[in-house]
Amino acid sequence: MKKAILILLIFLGANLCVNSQDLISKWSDKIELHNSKDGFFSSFIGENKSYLYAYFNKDVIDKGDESKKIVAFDKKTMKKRFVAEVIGYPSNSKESKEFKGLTHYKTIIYEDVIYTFFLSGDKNSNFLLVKSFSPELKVLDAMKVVTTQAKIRQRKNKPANIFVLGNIKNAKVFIGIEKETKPKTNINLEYKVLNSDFSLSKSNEITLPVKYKGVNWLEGLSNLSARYRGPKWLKGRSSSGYSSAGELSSSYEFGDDGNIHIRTKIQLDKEERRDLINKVSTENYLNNISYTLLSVLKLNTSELISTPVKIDDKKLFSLYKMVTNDQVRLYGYYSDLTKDKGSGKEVHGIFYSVLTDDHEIKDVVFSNFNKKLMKELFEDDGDDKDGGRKAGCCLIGRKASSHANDETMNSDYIIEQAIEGDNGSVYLFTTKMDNYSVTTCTTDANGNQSCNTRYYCRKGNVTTFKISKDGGIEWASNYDRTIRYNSWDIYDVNVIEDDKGFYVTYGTYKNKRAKKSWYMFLKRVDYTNPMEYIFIDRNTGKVSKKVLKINKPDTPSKMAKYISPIEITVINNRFYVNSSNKFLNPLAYPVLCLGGCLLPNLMTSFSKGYGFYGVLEPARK
Amino acid sequence: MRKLHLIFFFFALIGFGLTAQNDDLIDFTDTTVSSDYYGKEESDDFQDSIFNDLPFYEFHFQLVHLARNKFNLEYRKNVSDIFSIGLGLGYNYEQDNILHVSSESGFIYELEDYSLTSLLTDGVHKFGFNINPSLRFFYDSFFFENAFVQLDYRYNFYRYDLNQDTPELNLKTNLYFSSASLIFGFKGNTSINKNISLINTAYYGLGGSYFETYGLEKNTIYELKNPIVKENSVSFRLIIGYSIGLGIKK
Repeated sequence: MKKAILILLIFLGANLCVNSQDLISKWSDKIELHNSKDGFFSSFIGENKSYLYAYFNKDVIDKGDESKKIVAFDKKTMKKRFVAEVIGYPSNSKESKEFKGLTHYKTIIYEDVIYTFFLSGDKNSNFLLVKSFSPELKVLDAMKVVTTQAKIRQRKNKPANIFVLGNIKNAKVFIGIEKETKPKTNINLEYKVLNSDFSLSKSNEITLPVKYKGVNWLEGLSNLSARYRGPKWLKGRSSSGYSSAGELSSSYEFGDDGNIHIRTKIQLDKEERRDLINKVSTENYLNNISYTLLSVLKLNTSELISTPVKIDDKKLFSLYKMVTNDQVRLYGYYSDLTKDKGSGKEVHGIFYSVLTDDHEIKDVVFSNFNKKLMKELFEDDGDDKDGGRKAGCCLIGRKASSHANDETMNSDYIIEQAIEGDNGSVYLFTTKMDNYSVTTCTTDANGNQSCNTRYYCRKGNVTTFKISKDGGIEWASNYDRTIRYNSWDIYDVNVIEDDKGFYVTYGTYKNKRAKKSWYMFLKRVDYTNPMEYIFIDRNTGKVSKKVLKINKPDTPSKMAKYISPIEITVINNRFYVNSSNKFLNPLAYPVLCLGGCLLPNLMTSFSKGYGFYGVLEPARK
Repeated sequence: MRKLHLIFFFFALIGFGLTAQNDDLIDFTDTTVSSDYYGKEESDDFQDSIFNDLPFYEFHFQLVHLARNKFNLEYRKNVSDIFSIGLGLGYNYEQDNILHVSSESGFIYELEDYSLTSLLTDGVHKFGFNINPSLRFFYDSFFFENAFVQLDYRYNFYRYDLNQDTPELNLKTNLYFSSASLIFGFKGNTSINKNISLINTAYYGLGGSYFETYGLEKNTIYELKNPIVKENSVSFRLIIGYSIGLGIKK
């Protein structure tokens, strides 16, 4: 009898142990969508204690016809509870008439209030407007102008840019305006803080340590060093190299410490480079022509402190700035320029630094990769054995070395997410990201050439590092995965945690949506639509592959959900997911034949679909 | 031209109908929008499911067949969410235009002699019937909610009169033809109320037809060959169509 109880307990224990690493899903009912009514799911906005909020937009041809609703889902049941019409509906017509060219800008969710911001403009000025809602989406305060900005006066100038930042921990809203700027002058930032009673603080103005060089100020921007991901960052100048004078000069974050953190990419122009080449060593030249400038604007004192992220003989990149209540930490990769004199692209290790109260980078710890670590890390990785082969073997005629042998790591790695651990440790979740394009050209009979460029982003591996308080690598783990997306800069690694470890979702070829093709009409299809994810033990780094079956095998096609890894939103340590389908009603075809092409908006009213909205969370919760 | 206008108005009517029916869609709101609309609470007791939008029975009217002087109705039973069976019945009140044009353009290949061409060219169509059983299998499409492939069989019977100008020697003769087709289609459902939905279906396909007609001889008038023989013809078949219908859930 005792034995039986013991076996039962062991079995239950093992069962609980397995469950502790599993994710479970909870979904809304099937929600029918129609473009002529509410439109389609766009994105999750945020949550408070009781509700999760999402945007639903209508498909429109002209941006001026924007129609948007906010929908509140009950977090416990994922049932749809409240709806607010934000723009483009009959109930918004009064506001649209009052404020010309009204467009929706942003929504910030706080515990007791939801702020929705709008932009509008007349001949001379642009306006930022705000309207507030209760958590149940009842209007608290009607739309009113928060700030006004004169329109661009001179064509060569950078126009003024208004932006808004929120932070749920501070329950305040930061309103910033990068002022109109003449070429070759510094950009001024005017800012105000919106309090919960709808009152505004006094306006302040500071000068940012970045000059507007003209419309080409981003030319030659290095993709490698500009890539970073931070869900809280309001991103400025595009990392893809495309630039426009209308963009913000820098990226901004409203930190948990109540300060505004600013990140600026500094890129020297030809003249500055020419001057620099005589002043610094060859190794440090690379380090100085392009670097990141981190600034902090202390809202209490209006003080701006800036720190260039550059260190002699080291090229730093894939920077991840972690702002917590009490400190600001900086992580990233580094290239040792004394070893890699040519390009500074080889990754020799991870650096770590806690910024001082004066926002200075001091006591940087460099944890270099070594042969043993790289060999062990990529031991089970078929295509990246020993960290992968280094490029160049075929063209130069000799066998390439491996990354492990050279004590480096593939330079395509970026840090996608960092999570604070116990005792000052940090977990870095990294992955390989390779953006590339393929151009194919054809020539017609008249000799005219036409080219088509397709953009791809190849993602590989999920590699995790635990960095101790003193900056050393405590453990590292790797999981082999691969997927290719048809666009650049796709961030698909999402992480939540519980006290045992981390649940990491990512894109992989293995996650396929079941589809019954027409020629399979007699075949039964399994609509399980499994989603692969990994569980990483927070103490040992041990990686366990897991599969979440999204549906039961006998689920009918129209009730089958699917989770796309790039449509997962992490809010407050929960994965929020949507599974939507959009279709065209066949009625659109005869209408198109009978003149629908003359009225394209008429065609959009034939879009319909359905969606399920859900949450994934650890089974034990 | 008048017919074209008629069809256009018909579609316009459907378009207006759709707008009017929007309130009954299973959606975030089911009331008209008003200024105090914000914060409208959703009903908790509503549970949507796949079976809500699957009518048990459907009645279809083949709209494009009007252009062929045909009046076709189809009854369809949805056996499951992936399979349905249908039975169509039709009446040809005048000559089938497509059949006529196909014959004149040589699209129909006559295996023996030219009786079919003679019949279609010189015969006077009196009436025609068709019966159309079909099996429909639904598959997953990224563009359409209800995409299907259909195995379709149609049996047609036409009565023609020949020698109309000599009533005492009037020859009544029949044309029979069968066609089997593989049809691809897309079906759209719009709920009118809980039990009834408006269904519209666009489809295209390909198949083959097999014609049988009595052999004809012509000197000054038409007469049947002696002994009575049947002549066969075949043709390739391209299909494009559109139908509207009602779906009934109870």
